[in-house]
Amino acid sequence: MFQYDFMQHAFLAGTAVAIMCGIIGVYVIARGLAFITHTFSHVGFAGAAFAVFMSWNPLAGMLLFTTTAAVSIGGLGAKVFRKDIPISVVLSIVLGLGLLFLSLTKGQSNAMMALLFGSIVGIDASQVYEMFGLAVGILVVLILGYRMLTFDSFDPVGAESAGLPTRFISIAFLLLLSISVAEALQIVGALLVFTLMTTPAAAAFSLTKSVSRMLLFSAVFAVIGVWSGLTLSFYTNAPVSFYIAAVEAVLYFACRGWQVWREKMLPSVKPEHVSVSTEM
Amino acid sequence: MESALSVEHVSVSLGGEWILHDISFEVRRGEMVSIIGPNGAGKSTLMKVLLGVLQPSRGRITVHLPPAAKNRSRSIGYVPQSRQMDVDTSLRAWDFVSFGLPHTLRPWLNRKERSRVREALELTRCEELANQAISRLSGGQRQRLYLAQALVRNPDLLLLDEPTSNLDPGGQEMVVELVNQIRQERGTTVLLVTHDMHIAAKYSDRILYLTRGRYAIGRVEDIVRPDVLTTLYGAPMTGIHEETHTTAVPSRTSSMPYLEV
Amino acid sequence: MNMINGFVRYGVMSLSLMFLVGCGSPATQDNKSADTASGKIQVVAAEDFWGEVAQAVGGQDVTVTSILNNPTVDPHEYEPTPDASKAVSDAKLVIYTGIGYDEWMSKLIQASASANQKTVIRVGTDVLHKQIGDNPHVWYIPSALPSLANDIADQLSKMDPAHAKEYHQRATAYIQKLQPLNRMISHLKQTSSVNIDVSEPVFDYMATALHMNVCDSGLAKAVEDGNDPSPSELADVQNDIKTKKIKFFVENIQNETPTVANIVKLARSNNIPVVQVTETKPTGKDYLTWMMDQLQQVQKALNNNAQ
Repeated sequence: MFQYDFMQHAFLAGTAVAIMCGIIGVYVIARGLAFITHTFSHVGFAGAAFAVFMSWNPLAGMLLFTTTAAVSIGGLGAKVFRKDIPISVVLSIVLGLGLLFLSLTKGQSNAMMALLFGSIVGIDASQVYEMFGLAVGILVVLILGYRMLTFDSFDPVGAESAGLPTRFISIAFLLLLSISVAEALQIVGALLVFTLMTTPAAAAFSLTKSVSRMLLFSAVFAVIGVWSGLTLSFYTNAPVSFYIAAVEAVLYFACRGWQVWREKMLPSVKPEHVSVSTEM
Repeated sequence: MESALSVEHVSVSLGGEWILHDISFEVRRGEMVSIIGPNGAGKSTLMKVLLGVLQPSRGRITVHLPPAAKNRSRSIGYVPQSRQMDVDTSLRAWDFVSFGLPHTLRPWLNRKERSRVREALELTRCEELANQAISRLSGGQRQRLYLAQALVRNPDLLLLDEPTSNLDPGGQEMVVELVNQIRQERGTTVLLVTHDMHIAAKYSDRILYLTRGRYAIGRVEDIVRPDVLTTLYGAPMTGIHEETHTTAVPSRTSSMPYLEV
Repeated sequence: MNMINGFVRYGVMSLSLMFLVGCGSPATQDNKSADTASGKIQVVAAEDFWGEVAQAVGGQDVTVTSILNNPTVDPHEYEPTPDASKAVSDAKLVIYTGIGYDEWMSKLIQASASANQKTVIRVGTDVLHKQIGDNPHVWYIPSALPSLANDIADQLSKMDPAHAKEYHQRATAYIQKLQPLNRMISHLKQTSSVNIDVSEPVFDYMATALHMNVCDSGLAKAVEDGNDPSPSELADVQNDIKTKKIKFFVENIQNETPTVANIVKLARSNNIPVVQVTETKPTGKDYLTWMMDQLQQVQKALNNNAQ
């Protein structure tokens, strides 16, 4: 399998994407943003359509649109509990714009979009470095912002009361997310980014309640999915995305099932036995 | 005694309406002051102003820190009124409490920080819950965890916004009793927003009675008096003093609407 | 690479997951490892009509793998599989359309370390001198396959000079074989421009060759982009049909949309003939029969108008 360069590239870039997406995914789930990765790929498409219309590099349009969308969703939604509302508002405007630019552009814009959505078995050596660079950059930012981001993601009310800049955190996280989605889209494709940013983290949530372990499990699940997906695909020739999505789904349902079983087995938390004297 | 907090002529206007108007009071170190009053009286607004989340339109707030404290956010612990907690993304109590630690760029907890988390859990009688998922805890246990998160930064001033609103009477009493013990052990200054006049009267040194446009601060006996209550409510009220606690009731039940006291 | 060895172990472990997710479809390509050993030149074509030319020119000296060889796969939405990547990786000669039609192929080529040792023919740019943004359905240009046949013969001769003569002979024979198509085109070529409408810009190059004018390029582009046509464009097409401005309507039956279905219905009820074409080669036909069948429909449509 590894006599082929493309499989080496796929394993290396796929591992970088998996670790990055697995870790970001924990925060995506905790912040209730599961659908935003999907939204960003549509937004990226609209941005690319705009760039083609303006005769720019499609990636520039993609980044422009996804980061603008990130800032507006963050600005609209920092205090909104139902985050799906600002997301839908922004998504519908952007999808409309995408169709507009697509129809305004002369020539085969649709075909040019193909340039934007990568395939994991078509990665060249320079993209492997690019992907590693992106993953390392994103992870460094996440490590430095770990405490603030974790507090704000899991306990937004507490974070605000503790004086954390919650709006800034929200926008910064969305920006980080939009850049990683836009870049990873080009290299590994939309379905893979969406799958790896949600399913492994969701599986990790049912397995552990410790944030550090969630991050670890999520990254490990994502990597297992990519490796086994690539291997299965190599020997059977069904699309890689299918296998990765399938493996992640199996992991998710297994973890979920295990959680349900464990909760049935475990007695509920002990009733109060804490002695606090009420006598002064 | 040393002053822990002084509020001078503070007014807050939101949307063209005066939520707080010309409020001045002083809180001494180690004192527990209960803030009571009907819904919409501005109790939570006062909390936000004290926290620094909201800037007052007029007036000044000074938190007097003991020399050891380095900055303001470190020395105030706050337990908000309500919490968004998603069952699906629930995490364990230990992590939740550690969020309260002062923020650094270092992702892991060092030994000192771990011992502070452990201490906060012990202080709130939560040590056995450290590895439990918050979603599996009872209301009272959760409330103690929220308290632990506020205590983990070892605050000099503890602000509690209706910590007992979701609890049954026994649970309410227990949480406030716990706060009182911590106050006595650590000398923490406590401001407690509550609807429960009984708890306010039993545990606090003084009561700040807040209602739209008017307020009174003083010892329980000085506030829960027919003349003061009548002025504050704008309707005849009387205080019933019992052996252990004091209750405010409308003096002519038939003519008075229900008031939360 | 040491990392890779680790990956292999995990890869083998993860194979056990196959039992959970079920078996995938078996590989569809021929056994290539045997061919590699036999010393034949490996050729990969992105689409099967290019593959047909390569096979015709290369004969028994080459092994041709066509990646898109199934008319049910939309070339715009194709996701390359590892087998496609393997084939490209092993190939000496790669033929694809280019000009944005099958960009995934350029990625597959780049993914292979031997990328610069491969001969690559991008038919759109290298053979037909089109640019990105031009209509990519260049196999509808009557001269496309003959030109490509000569080009392939040249390239194969460079790689395998011993058989140069055979390659050129086979190319000439193949071009000869396509003669009926050229005769049909000159037979159908209109003396004065004739108007037609199309559902998608698939047939446009052939329409130009037949001296026909496509009136509804806006609608065709919208359908191809998966966009909604604007109401005015739709109204224009309906008027073209009702006023019999057009001789016939060309429908791409590989991409059925409700809008197109309604236009086809309107055309039928107004006695406007509908010529059914496909974007890619249908199963069981070669390029010649595929094109001839479509042109016979055009002939019938023109006769219908004459009556």
